[in-house]
Amino acid sequence: MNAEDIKTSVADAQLSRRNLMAWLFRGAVATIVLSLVGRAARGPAAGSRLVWQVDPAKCTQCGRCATMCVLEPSAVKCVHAFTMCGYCKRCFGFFQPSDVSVLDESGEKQLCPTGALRRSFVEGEYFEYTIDETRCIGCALCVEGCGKFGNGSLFLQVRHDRCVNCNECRIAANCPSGAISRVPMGTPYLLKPACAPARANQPARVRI
Amino acid sequence: MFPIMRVDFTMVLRALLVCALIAPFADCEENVFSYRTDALYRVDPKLISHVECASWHASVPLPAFLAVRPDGGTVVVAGGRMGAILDTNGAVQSRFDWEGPVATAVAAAPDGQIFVGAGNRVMAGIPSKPLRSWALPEKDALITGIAADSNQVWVCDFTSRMVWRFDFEGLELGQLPPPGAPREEAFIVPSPSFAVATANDGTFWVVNTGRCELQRRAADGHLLEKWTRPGMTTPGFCGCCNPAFLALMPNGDLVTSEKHIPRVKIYGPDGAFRSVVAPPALLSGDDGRPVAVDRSGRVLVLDGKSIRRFACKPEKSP
Repeated sequence: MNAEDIKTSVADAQLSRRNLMAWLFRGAVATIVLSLVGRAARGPAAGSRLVWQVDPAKCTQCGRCATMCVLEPSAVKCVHAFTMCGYCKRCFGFFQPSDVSVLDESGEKQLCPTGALRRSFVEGEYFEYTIDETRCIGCALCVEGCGKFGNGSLFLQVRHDRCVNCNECRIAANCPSGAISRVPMGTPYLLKPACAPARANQPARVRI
Repeated sequence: MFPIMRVDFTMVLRALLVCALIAPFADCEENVFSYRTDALYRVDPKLISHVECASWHASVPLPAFLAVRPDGGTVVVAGGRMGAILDTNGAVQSRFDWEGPVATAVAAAPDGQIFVGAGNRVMAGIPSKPLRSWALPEKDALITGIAADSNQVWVCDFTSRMVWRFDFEGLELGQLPPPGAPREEAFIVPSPSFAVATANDGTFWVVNTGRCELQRRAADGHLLEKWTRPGMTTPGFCGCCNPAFLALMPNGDLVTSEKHIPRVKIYGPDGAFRSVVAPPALLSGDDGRPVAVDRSGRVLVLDGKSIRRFACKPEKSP
């Protein structure tokens, strides 16, 4: 190898390093651009994206959540704030507001038209009430009964595993009290204030 | 061709006319899942034994609880962190206030002492002097009912579902149910309505709201009798947990006040339904209305910011 060859190989080596640096720079720029494009295509961040939700403080239990939703059954379901529940033996979210001297759990005595509210014995005079969401149609009969004759621990919420988040929610358009509005996706449920932990060491128990 | 178009035009006109006629009612969709309780709010007028004879302003900003002092029929009303003593015509005789939790119950002893339950504290004394106070053993206690006889005071605590017995200085004398009592004796209190009232014969009545039950107990706390009357119609106690408030007539009958369907009724000591003092149509809101009875057997009802006095109708008087 003469001196000329050595100069040429050194120049090639420098060129390769320059090429490598250039490619690395191009790769970094491409990565940044692609991530920006991807983020733009995904839309705004989850915290600023909006979803539909029922405000329990405004809900008047008009029944339109059951009949107006484009889904069948409705994406609006009853949820239960267990910290508010009295675990009553005579629950008027469960029983019809009629004679309760004999507590008969037969279907015609139950308030829920689909039998979605389940009653199970806990102990003594205490009973637990849970919601079978596959049956719940969001009619709010139990919500009204619990609110009128109990602690108001049952309330409606749009369930986001079902809601298709229509641009123009048909329930919201027909809600007479304006109880349905868009809320940030980061806080997609509007719970009752009393669902907050009653004591510092007591976790909130809302079955969502 | 022409006649067909003419027929179509007429039909369009008819359709437009029908639309115009039904448009005002288009938004009035009936709730197919309506919850009908109207009938439960109606009371047979024959069952109403009392008529309102007077009413006056409660004289405190947030009136919430009511008692009658046996000493002369003066009325104690408390709410927020303030109370007032009113004469039988509603004129303010004196006022008292305190620092700390808001009032959650009020009672008057035969000697004229006043007892105010506020959160987990009992305040006692004569309104013209600073009230003495003591706390319940339970730190998170919420007093929902209080009653006093000549030498002891009964305090209902919603949090522990217990009735505490103290002397007038705050010394604990006992509790109901007593420690180690069987589970069946426990009070069932699904919501913060847990009332107590003392009778003239030294016994007292306490409400076991979750069972819609009233219990008569001796001065030492042991159970003498009990009766229950759940039901949505007028003679029963509606909802999950009633009655919310309780007072005793001079003849031993019980005056009960219900929430959800607000109605004030009278029962005999054996649980026999006697009559209705104030039907839902006369009372505002769905909350239970605190009640008290004066020396003449007239029923006082704290309804919103007013104290309303109901007297027996002349034809219903014994």
